[in-house]
Amino acid sequence: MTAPLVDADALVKTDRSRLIHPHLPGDVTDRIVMVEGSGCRLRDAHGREYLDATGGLLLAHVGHGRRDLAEVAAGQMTKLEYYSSFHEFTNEPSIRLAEKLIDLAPSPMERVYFTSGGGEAVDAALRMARLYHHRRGEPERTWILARNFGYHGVSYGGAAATGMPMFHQGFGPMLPNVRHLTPPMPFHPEMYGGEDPTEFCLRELRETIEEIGADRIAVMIGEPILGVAGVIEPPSDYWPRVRELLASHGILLILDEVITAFGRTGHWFAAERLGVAPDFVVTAKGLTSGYFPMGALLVADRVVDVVARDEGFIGGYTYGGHATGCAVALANLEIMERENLLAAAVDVGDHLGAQLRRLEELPIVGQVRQIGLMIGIELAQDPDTGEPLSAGWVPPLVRERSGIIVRNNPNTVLVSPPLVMSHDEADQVAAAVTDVLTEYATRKRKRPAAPAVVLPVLDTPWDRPPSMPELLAAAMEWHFDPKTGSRFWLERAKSLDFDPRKDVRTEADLELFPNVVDELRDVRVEDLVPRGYGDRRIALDVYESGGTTGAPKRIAWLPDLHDQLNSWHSQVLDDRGVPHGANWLTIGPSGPHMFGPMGRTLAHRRGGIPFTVDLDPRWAKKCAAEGRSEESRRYLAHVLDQVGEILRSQDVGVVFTTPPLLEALAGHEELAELVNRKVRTLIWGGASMDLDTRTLFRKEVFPGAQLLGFYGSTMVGAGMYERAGLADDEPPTFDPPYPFVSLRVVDPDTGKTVPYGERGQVVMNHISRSMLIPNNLERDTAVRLPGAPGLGGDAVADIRPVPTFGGTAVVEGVY
Amino acid sequence: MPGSPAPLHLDALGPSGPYRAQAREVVHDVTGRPVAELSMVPRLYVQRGLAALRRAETLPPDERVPALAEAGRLFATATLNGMTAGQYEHAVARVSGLPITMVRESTAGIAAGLAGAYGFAGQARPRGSRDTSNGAGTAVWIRRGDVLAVLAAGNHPGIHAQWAEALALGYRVAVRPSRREPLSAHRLVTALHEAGFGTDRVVLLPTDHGVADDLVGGADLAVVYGGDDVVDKYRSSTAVLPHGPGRAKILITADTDFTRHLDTIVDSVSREAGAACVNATAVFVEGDPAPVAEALADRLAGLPALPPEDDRAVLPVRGLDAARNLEKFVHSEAAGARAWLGGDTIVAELGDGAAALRPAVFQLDRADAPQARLEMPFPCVWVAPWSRADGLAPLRDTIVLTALTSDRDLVGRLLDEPTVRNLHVGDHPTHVLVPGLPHDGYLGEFLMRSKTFTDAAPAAP
Repeated sequence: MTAPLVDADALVKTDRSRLIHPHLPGDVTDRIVMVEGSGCRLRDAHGREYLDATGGLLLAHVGHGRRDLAEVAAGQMTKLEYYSSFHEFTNEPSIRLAEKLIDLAPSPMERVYFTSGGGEAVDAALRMARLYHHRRGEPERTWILARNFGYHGVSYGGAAATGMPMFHQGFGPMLPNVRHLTPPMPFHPEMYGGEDPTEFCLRELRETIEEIGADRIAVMIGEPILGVAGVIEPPSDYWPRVRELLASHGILLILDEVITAFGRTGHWFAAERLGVAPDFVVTAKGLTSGYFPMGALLVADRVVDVVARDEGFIGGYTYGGHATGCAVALANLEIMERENLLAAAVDVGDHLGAQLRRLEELPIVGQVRQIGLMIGIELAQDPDTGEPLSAGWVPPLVRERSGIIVRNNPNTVLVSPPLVMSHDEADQVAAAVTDVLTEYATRKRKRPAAPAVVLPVLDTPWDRPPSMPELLAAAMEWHFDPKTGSRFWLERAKSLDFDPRKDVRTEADLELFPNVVDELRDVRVEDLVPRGYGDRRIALDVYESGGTTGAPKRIAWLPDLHDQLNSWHSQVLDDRGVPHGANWLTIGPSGPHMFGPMGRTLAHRRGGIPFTVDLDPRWAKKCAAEGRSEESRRYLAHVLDQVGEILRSQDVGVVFTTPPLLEALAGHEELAELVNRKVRTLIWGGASMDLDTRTLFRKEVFPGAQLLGFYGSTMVGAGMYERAGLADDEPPTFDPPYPFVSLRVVDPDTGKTVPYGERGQVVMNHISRSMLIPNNLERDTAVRLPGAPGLGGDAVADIRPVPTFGGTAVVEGVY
Repeated sequence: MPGSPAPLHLDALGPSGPYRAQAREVVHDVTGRPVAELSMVPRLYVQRGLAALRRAETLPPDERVPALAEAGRLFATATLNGMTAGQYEHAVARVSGLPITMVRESTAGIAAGLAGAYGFAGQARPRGSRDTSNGAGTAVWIRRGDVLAVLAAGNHPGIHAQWAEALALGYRVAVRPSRREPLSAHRLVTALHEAGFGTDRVVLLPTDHGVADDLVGGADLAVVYGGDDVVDKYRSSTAVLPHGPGRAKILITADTDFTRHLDTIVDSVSREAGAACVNATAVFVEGDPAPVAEALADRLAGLPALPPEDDRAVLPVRGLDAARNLEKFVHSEAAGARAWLGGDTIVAELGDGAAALRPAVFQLDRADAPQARLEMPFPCVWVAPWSRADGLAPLRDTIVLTALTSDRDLVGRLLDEPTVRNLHVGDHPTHVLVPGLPHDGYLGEFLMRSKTFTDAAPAAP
């Protein structure tokens, strides 16, 4: 950056006397006169350099100071700078840009209405929504539903929809017929009175529709991910369910993607990520990366059909479809594609997010939320209660100390840099913010840096879990103290380049461990038992992996784990309404496998009689792998014969089996009829099940039974059940018994955790008194999702087998 | 209208009607633009579909014969699944890359094939056998099973006329469409349903490869299209009829002036865009093959490269990357052969991300060169020398051989050769099928068998 400096002091003086700045208290006399930018770097009139970690106001996606965009603008201005887009007039850049936007946009977006920015686009969307109903003979549909903490600009329409009182006070009366609802903010369960946030919000929405009357409501508006409010992503089922409810009442949906569109989250639109198809998408910011003030309202086909007919849509903006702006926007999007900035947002975002998430250990940080390159660090007086701590002091301190610009809302530090930020620059941002917050926290000294080691934490019931740091502190002490650790881990510790008792404090620290499960093929199982259990004889069970990717791996299964785990299982089954007293039929491998014994134990615990039909998965998979399909078929028939003998003669209320065996039952007319007549709960596990198969089971094959998925791993000695209340189009989603079992979803090539909503390979950790298995790479891929509210940790969805594992093709046979 | 229209939904067509799966694959045109979304059904759906077919009653002959004709009429003329016949043909041309005139001919061919399905199927009927007994000692022609699975190919819509014969013979049919070009199978099954075939008598089950095996295994019989791997996989099965590469050939003996038959040779190579199994892959020349190759190259070089929807198009079109990959493959296979045409490139970019596949002519130095068996989805021909010493070996394993010869002894030996499945002598291009005569044997030979029935019971009073 080499621009000549200007007379900074003179400019500041003039600024003070001639300019009104938004959000600048009157007694603040400081001004920073920016004169130059390049990439993520800025320079002010005094020659001081800054690292832009905000993208101005969450834009500047392609970085500052791009000559290529300036040349596009100049070229277009030379040719045709502007002409009206009213009536039949148009211009090539706006046509090309509209075409491009619809190509990128989620279905069913059909046409584009250009504005000068996001606020105008919000107003246009609200007007179109009302006009849509008016023209369809429902002029009384005028109400607008919006959300508290939502931000939609400061035009009168948008400000009315904005759910922040500061934008209303002193500016009233606001637009009438606007109702603000509660958004889901899982980190603040206190807002929902103990109710699940999504359920609370859906109930509130239903009640509001009932109160106002569906026939009086035009539209609902919301940010898919609350941006200014602190980068808050809703639970994955929130928007689809809101959409479904609105659609059932003929209410339109506007998604305000001014912040989230064009790569900020790693997607062109957050709607893709959240699986929701709105009627309007409002965009601006990243559309031009700030090189031209411009917004675009994307409108779905069914709305277009109405508002563009008759006399058309009345009202436009002078600069709508501005030829130069559209040319710049097109070039900006091309840069984003060419430079792969969506992937960069994820890559750098995760890199930055991983460092900033460590701040959650500080007693002033409630939660660090990162989605692509949107990051919010919510501060709290007490993270356990969520009592807010003002964040206003952070940006000036970070800027003064490090020359790095971050922003804040009342209690959240916001980081949203240009998508061209490098890893190196991200490291600087992380270090600067960490430095400031750590210093503050150290001075505050409200809680110790690491929890005290309390070994009884290891005996906490799994349905009343301790925090991950508490569990880790106790487990590391137990497993690596020479007096209590197992021979296996004590020996293994000698080759570790870290000290687990000192260095493993957080879930992320578990990544320090190597994946040791391959070593479990040869280890004597006695060596896996922690010495702390003493010399007394322990009733030890041994379970083996499937053994299809090499020699079987073995785990030692101690009675306390058995009790803890089964107690937790039974509690979850209670939560799911699985009746007690029902007899269980487990159709799955027993022998060295955990499947059968687990079914037997659960049946006993729940007052039922266990029936078992055993099978040998190794043989079945071998037949499948070698193409001996006739043998597989005969083996399957043999298994079904045994199932038939039990189902015909015994009362069976619960069947626990695998998806392929469930399909085989479905294809056997008599057995399917017996299942429908007798069985109330079908638990499937051991293999994956796709959405369509699940829906067919639910609706057509076994409509009277509850279908409940189970995802487990022998190697971590545990499993988890399908989340309750999933719609047909939501993949089976599994929440682990966190923190005893925790999940990561990683890019198999880099080992890095993938962003939420993306697929990767599953890694499981088990931490308990009897077992320590960190970093177990499973033979499954899954989509990473936030854990269900109140459970902590990540969840996984849509499990699928990897094609090969350890060089061996993975076969999903009858098991 | 800016942007792309909403994609067409190609639902599975199951026993309970259309089924829109959560799992859907995008069907692209040759430029990579999405054209449709194909619902992909899971194993459980296939299993239930087959069970429904098995439970269904066969439509009586006096209903199914007119219903087939009506389905053919609807296929060729009606608006089905929101598409007119013209829109369907345009979409197939854009998706498959086949010239639209060829797609139109296929449409007419399918309509005619359905109208005549019962009669065509009957060509395979053994002399003396009947559909039903008249009480005396009779050979009755009966189905070998109830449910037929068809794993259809996407290289040519015309193949769908064939399995309609199974419906004519009373089979219930499950069709797995090509994932590359599922439009034709979808339209035909839709037409059959509209025409009165119950949704439990013919179903469309788009699936992935893994589930396709279950479809084959769950049906009584199956017709499967594919490459050599598919043929090898089912070669020993009596329940599966595999259709592999055709490897059609032309033989020109020394007593024949090839210049008088050049139209036939060119036509055999290039009609049907060179993409059909009956297009000539190899030309064997008794004597010097160079003049034949040169003349062929000269004629084929003039074929225009046009988008598939252009009425004048005659060459197949692919996405540019796919075309480049094909070119790379052909050139690597042609190492050592003399290129008369296509040695530099076979890719003619159309400027929209697609490319026409230009013809290629290569000269081989011996009859048993492995390239002579290489079948490509565009006009690509291998011209090789042939001598009496080579014998019939290079001519074997072909769906159709056109022999340009006056040597009746040779013709007799070719007629006796079982792996030459169809033989034309003289000016009859390899691709021209004669109505009523077998294409790759009669389908009825696979689907039916005869059994004796005598009924000595007294007639009812």
